[in-house]
Amino acid sequence: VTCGDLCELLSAYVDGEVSPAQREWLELHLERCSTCQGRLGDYRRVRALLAALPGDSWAPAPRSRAAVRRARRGGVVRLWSVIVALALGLAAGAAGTVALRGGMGPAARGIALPVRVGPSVRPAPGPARVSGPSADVGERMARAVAAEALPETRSLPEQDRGAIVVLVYVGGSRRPVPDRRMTIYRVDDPVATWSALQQAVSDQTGESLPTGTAQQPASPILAWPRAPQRWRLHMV
Amino acid sequence: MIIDDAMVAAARAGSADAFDAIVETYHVRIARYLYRLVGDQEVALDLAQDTFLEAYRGIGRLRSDLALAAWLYRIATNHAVGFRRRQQLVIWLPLLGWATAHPERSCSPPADEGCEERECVQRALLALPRDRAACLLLHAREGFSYEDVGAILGISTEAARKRIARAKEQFKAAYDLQREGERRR
Repeated sequence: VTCGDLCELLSAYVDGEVSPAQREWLELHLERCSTCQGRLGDYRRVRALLAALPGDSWAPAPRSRAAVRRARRGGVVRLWSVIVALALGLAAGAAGTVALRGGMGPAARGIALPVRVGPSVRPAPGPARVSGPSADVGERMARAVAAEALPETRSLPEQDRGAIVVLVYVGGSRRPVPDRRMTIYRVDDPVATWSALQQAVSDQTGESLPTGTAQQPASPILAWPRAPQRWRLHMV
Repeated sequence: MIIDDAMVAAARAGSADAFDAIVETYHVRIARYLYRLVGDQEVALDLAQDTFLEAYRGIGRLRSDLALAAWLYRIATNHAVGFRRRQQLVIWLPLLGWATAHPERSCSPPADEGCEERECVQRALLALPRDRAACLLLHAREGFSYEDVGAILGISTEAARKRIARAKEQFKAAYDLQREGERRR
């Protein structure tokens, strides 16, 4: 047995996970082996460092209870995943067309929307409207879509979670949960974005989205029941 | 609150009160564990929520040979590993103006030596593969034995022992690297 073979045993020794016989043998060895003494010191230091990890004073209230209650009622269980499935006009040069999905059920299908940038995602003027996404956002979104970039809902900072969030399914996924085929953005101006979506869907499919829905961002889950086989739209 | 076998049995039988008690008892522990694994409190809270939702749905299938705590940590670990996997697929695009609106979120030099060390420890831990980091945390911070760590991760006790020893080596190397980087700043 070489000292190199004793790493696991030394680690377990520090953790109090050796048998009495192993302990006795190891302590005898340690008395005359400076290499193992050094390694033992390293393992002890690792334990001490891990004790210094932050978070001990953090005592968050459970979000889970409310979510579990919703689950019991059969509702949607991820607050942050209750999302507006909006199609955006995205940059034409970057991605051509983008298949957008908002389907909840297995029968959901994607729709192809023309890719545009600029005015369609800029905020319309008006006192009630906050600053909206700029053309730069649209361009970056288009690039992200083109590259199949996959932002995470979980990465949205807390203060953005109550806002309208756009969920762009880039094909492939049939589930409205974070997975590898989905992109999510906040929309600062839901009215302007909704208008762009209405126009895009109308151009592409000849169908009409309900008007005014985007003006109710604080409403509970809103589904668009008229075409459940094509997509379903939610907003928080 | 003590979660005894009767409470677990009640939760398995569908008692909402019993499950609420489980959430109440374990939420902070699980959330802190996840925070140390993923390094972000908001993410940790989301993952904790996912953990308890999965537990709620699956508690009827809880095996009698696996303690409730170990089972919850197993679910939490799986969620953290899954999160990391998805994160590696992600290119995050910051929202416009967010960084300037929330300067406290930006990376600023730690205020003191202790703070600096904690930062280095956290970053070193985050540099480890999630299953290795989970091993370290489960034993050194959550107090599980090697046998329990093996049960939580679905590996043998011997494999847990090896993995923990290897994780310590990796952690030390990552920590030394972090400290070296701090000194050069």
